[in-house]
Amino acid sequence: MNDLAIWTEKLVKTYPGVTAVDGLSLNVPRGVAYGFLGRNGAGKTTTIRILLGLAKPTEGRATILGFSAGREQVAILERTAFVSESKTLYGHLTPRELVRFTRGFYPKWSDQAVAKYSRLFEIPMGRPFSKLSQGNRTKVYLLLALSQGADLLILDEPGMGLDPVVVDEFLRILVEDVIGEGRTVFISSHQLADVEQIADWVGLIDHGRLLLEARLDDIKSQFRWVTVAGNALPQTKSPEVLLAASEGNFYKYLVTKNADAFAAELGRQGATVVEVSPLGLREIFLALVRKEEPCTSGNVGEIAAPVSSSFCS
Amino acid sequence: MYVWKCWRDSRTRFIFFLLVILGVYVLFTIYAARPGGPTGFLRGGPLSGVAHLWSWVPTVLLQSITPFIVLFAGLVLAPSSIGQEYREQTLGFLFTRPRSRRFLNWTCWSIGACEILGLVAAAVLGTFAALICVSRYLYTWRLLGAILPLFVGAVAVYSMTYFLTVLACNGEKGLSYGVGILVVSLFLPLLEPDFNRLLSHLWHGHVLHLPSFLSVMWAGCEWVINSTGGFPVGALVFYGLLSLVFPVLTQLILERREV
Repeated sequence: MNDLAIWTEKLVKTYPGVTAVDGLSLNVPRGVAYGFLGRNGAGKTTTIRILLGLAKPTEGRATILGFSAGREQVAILERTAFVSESKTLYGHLTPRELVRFTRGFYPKWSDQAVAKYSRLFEIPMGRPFSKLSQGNRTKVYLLLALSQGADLLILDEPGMGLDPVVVDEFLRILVEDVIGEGRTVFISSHQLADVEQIADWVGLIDHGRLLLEARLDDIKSQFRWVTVAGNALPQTKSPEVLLAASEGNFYKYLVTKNADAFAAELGRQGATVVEVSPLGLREIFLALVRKEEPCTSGNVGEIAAPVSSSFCS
Repeated sequence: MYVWKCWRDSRTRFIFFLLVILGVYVLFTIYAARPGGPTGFLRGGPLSGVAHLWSWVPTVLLQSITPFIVLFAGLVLAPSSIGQEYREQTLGFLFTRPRSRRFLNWTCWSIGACEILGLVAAAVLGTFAALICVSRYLYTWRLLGAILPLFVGAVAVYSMTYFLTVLACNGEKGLSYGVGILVVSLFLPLLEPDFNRLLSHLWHGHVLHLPSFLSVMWAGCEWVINSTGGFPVGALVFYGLLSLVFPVLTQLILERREV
């Protein structure tokens, strides 16, 4: 497990009346960009807060860069940069003073990076943080995170308030200056298109449970919608079938690999295969977390788990 | 760096109280030293007059004025840095810096305690200056002994308010709770005779000295200035320990609190 940048085992976090994280097991390899996706309230920020020691798990355990979350928190924080969802900083300090404040905490701090990124992001370094626009506040947060020389960047909605040009620039920096140097980026976002641009892996979470954890390349090359027509189709229980849903007279299956073989098998059972089509991250996200869709899988682990009830009628 | 940040958060209040002390002392000195003023006739006078002057100036400055200023400073300085974190909701940022919460807590507390020490030292040095200005030659190192009771009393109030700020997660609430407790503690000695009559009636012969932040300062200064009443060692130890218990409790809260 020490080869992983982030590892969690059956992480649970409950608040009175709410289970924010429900048996979450994550495996984030080192040196990759990992997109952590989910709807509002899915448990993404709570998970991040647990990883950073801001919240204590009710059950389960986690390691970050091989260090135990909670017990070796200072060692974790020395190696981890964090951009929070709230983007709150000391309002009376200017970005220059915030740099001065933050610099002293990190032995690998880079003033060159500060100069480079402050110029690139066009941050007004002499204006108090409270007087900055939302976009500029986000840029200051990113500047502080990128200048720490951290081995792991945990970014919670990093693109919030940024214009598309800056988002594009920021994603390029992540790819070239962070992932390119073998460091890890853990990015939690609603912006699926942005995540799709840089992510090597994605984890999809809903109601505190991991629905999917897979390589993005695998998703693109192997994940398929299999649409079939027929009567009394057999219930499908297979690790390769992530989701099954009915749409009028058709059944749609979200298959993680060997889609053609799966379609052929359905054909042998009397179904008419209408289409086997590739799908993108956005379609998978919508298919798995759409609220009115009752037939989603449970915690599926690394690739895919059996669907507990395949057909939704 | 956190030291710098805490100092930056609290320096305005510290400088304000420093100016208050200096202003009060300068005004008092001008008033006392003016020709025909209350101490003018004593300049170069007989020994008894000098002795009276020695006692009068520190009694007014150190024993009567300074305790109220430094107590109020303790109240106001306590929520300045940690209260700022709650007001701006920046604890999440602070606690994701690679320092233990214990370190952050004690650093924050220590900066305020040092500022209070600075204010007390300024008050004692100001008393030296006032004595010299008023009498031209009168001073004594014995006055340095007033630093300890003044500091312990003020830092106890500071520690209590610091703890209450963290407990309430709010600087303003912490300050108001601190003011409430301080006001109650100021009136407690007034109730002491009745309280002890009742206690003695219930529990044969036992009496209790009710705590007051001011009484430890007054008693210490009284001993330093007039050599009467005995140095309040027990009270100093009690309030000294109290001053340390509060930041320890604060640490325990911060280490367990989710942000």
